[in-house]
Amino acid sequence: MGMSESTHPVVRVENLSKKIKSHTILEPVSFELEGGTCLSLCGGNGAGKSTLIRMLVGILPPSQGLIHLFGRNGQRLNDEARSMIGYMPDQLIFPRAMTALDILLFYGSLRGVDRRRISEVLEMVGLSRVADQKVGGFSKGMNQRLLFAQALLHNPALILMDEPTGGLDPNWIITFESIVQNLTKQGTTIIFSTHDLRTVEQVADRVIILDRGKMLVDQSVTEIKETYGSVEHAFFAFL
Amino acid sequence: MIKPFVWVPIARFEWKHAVRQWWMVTFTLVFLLFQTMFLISEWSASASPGFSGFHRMTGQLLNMNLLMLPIMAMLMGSLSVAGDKEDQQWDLLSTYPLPRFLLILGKFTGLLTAFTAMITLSYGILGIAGYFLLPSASIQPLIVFLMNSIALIIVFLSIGILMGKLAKSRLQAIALSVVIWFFSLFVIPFLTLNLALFMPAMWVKSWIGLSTLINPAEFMRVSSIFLLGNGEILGAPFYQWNEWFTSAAGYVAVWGYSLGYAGLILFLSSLRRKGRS
Repeated sequence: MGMSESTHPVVRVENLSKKIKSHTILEPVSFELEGGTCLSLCGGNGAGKSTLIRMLVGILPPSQGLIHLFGRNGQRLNDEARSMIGYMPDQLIFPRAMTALDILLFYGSLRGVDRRRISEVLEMVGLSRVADQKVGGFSKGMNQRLLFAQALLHNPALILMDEPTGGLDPNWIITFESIVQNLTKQGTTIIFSTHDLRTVEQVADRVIILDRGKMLVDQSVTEIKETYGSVEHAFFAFL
Repeated sequence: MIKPFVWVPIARFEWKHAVRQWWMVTFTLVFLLFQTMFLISEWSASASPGFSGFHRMTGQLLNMNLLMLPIMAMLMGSLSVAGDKEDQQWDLLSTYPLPRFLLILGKFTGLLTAFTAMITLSYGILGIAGYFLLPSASIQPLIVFLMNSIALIIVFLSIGILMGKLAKSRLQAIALSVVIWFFSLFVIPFLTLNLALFMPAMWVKSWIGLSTLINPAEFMRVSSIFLLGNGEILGAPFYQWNEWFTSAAGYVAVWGYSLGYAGLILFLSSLRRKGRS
């Protein structure tokens, strides 16, 4: 976690934008995030949440602007910085013939994670009992939990998640919230996009509301509650 | 710091995944079925021993190898990469501290191991059956076939991986693989021979040599004929090639060609396209 303890913000984004041909997906956005902060990206479909996350993890190159992660250029991250990032995409389909354990052993081996940690994470996301079952038979929620486990495996300093609560039942949403709260208490920085405004209020310190590629709000949850009463009211006031 | 052996778990995962696929087992059974049919047909006609030289059975085996192995290897490679891209696994892996070339190498090695194991098993069963049905036959042509099959798989698997990298979906990957297969097996040999008819005689040998080198399917067809000791069927202009191929240099050439070709294609596959992960 060395780099996250430095004086740099964990995430610094300057005028980041994305255009595909002449179509603007995301207009310039700027923000900074200190270690141990949880930021939620909210907005309707096509707001630019996933695009922003995909640019932050280096999957999509930005059209303009700068990303700094742990004080380094986010587009030229070295392996040390990459090993401090956990990413959970929105709709990954795991190979159906593999078991949950096979999958975590695979991702774990790429990160140098031992088997004990894999068991610990499986327990954390409630998949221990089905670890030897093929993921082809998993429900959407179980698949999401496995994907979440993959992002947690190596104890990353920064976790980025795209709609992590999609498909989770209410019990697992509560467990997810409690895991995220514990992680931020331990100093992990978290960015996640969601449509679940209750979860935002439960776990996020800060909210960015996007609409059709424009950043409309960037405020702390406390400020939003003071001004609008709730995140939900703020969301509907702007959209 | 790059961990040079990070491709090993990728290869292990690919191997595990490949051998759990029903189509892999089906393909092996179909391949074995064809081989067995050729063996039985040779056995029933048993006037001439099947495993000695370039006879009907070896000709049938060679054609079957050239028709089936390239398309299967390309489909395997291209669907593996295009499938990972469609399923977002590729994007996820690009966020890992993992050099692109080692990711490609891991996928290639795992798929190659799985395919080679299946083909070796199939040839092994054929060899055992041949031992009982055609006891006078030599095992050497079977080994030449197995080695050339593996060399063929190496080249076409790497081409498949490149096709998967270029394709945006599984469907595109299948289409690209079929087009390459069709060109490699039918169009290029057809054009080579027909264009040769209009060339001055002194150019023909070089033209055929160049076309054979560029097209891996043709290279493997020609090298198999030479390695089986039947180069004379290609005519007097190729006697020199026959001598060269039947020496130890022939085996080195086939493997050097196959590994070099695959290395180049895998290197191209590991290059990032502008604006993509």
